[in-house]
Amino acid sequence: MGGRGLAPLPRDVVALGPSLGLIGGGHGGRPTGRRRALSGLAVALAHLGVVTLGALQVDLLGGGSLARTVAYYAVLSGADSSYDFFAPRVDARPEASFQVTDATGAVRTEGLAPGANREAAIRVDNIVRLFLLTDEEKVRRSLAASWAGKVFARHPGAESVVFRLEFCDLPSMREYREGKQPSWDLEYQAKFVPQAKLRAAREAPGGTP
Amino acid sequence: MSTEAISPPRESAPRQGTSLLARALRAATCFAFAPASAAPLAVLRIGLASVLLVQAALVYPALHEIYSQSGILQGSLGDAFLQLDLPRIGWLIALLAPLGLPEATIITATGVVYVLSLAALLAGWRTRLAAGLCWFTHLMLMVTVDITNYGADIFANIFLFYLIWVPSGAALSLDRRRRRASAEPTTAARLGLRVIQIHLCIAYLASGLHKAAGEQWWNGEAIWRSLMLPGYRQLDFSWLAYHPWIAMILGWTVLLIEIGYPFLIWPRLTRRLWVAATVALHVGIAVFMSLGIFGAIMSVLTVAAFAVSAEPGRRSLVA
Repeated sequence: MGGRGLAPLPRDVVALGPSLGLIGGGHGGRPTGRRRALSGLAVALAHLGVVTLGALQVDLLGGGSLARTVAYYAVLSGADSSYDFFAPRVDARPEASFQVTDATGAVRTEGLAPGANREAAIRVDNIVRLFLLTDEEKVRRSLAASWAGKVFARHPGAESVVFRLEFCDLPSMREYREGKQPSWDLEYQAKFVPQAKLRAAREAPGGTP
Repeated sequence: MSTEAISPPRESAPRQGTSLLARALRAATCFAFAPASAAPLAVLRIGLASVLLVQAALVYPALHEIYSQSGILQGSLGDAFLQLDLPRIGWLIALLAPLGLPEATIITATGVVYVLSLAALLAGWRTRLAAGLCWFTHLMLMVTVDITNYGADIFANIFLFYLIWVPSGAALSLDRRRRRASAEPTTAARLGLRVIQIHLCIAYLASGLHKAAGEQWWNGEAIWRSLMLPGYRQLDFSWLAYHPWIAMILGWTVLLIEIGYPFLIWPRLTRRLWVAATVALHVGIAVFMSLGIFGAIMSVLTVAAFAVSAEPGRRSLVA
């Protein structure tokens, strides 16, 4: 393990020494073993170089064909990670909720995957973040509609589903001491009605065109 | 050759410089290539496979909701955000379309292959093949719904990839029992372990420096928000607002553990303390933010890489 003092070198390491130019000559060594060790070292150093580029958040995808090849390798090996978890700040996560109104007018609120355990819920909650990756209203509407569709599938008798995407506005510690309470900021809201019900409403006397 | 054989001569300054260089280079060679036991790599293999099996059991009930095109991310909506064309379940569906296999069957089959290869990896049976299958199926699942991934998946991907190349089946494995792998210390085990150790050092240093760039980790707000924001909050920590110094000290401690990791995990004097501090950090994240799988994976990585002895002939596993 790391941090140990210098111990006598085993034979294959001594054999490797002269080829690396690290240790005084006088030792032979199998060329194949040396080549393999040197190749292994070169690959390891190159890989750690890619890991370092990832940690430094260097964008290789925007580069030429070599950079793009390295980017592919980095993604496959996980060397592209920048390890910026909860950094430089801890942001509020978007919270998606669905207000389901049934035929009697009763309203209940639920999440995208009610009853999911924590590990599954993390993944489902992460999907909601897709909303923040685009400003395109068409894409946002499609995402919201597809999720509302899942809720309608769970509640076939629902009259409408209101999708709300909110962020928790958590006061700082000082603000909290001064009495400010956490609140919710609405990022997006859309109401969905089953097409059959919408059509019926339009065809009814006095219905909207 | 012994250590004494390369001790610096005292005749002249140039000779002394050369000798010091030789000594340093010899230490570097020993650092990277001195044959090592595969025990740390085996502990990494067993620990990682165990945690990922638990994770797979937890995700299984939502498997189709998460990965199916008729699930939470319907149709090709997810594809709109993909940056690279990488293997994903959609590829398999297209590839197997002539066989008329439904998507649900392909997703289930991918999950089954993943779990079986994890079990093989855990037992050390055909270890490299098992690691390769694990890595590939895990990658396919990651790429299919890229947005769902978080730290646990990223580190699993990294270390499953390493397990393909390092001789983790040379200890505590069925391959070893069946003599398909040699128990002899190898330079490959040492080099593999060094790469893993250095990768962890880069990861913790980067994580610590990214955090240190923000004001929240210095004034304690990051701790306050981690404990109080919905999505992370497990207990009521509102009392922390009246003792902000506690949050501030905890924030500094996180920075110290992460930025100090690459410097204080190596010396024997501080290694055990830093392993314990790092594990405590991840246990804290697991308990207070309910990120149990992430905490378990990160603890396994540090324990395997720095707390398990790689020295040949050592009876104790503890470094």
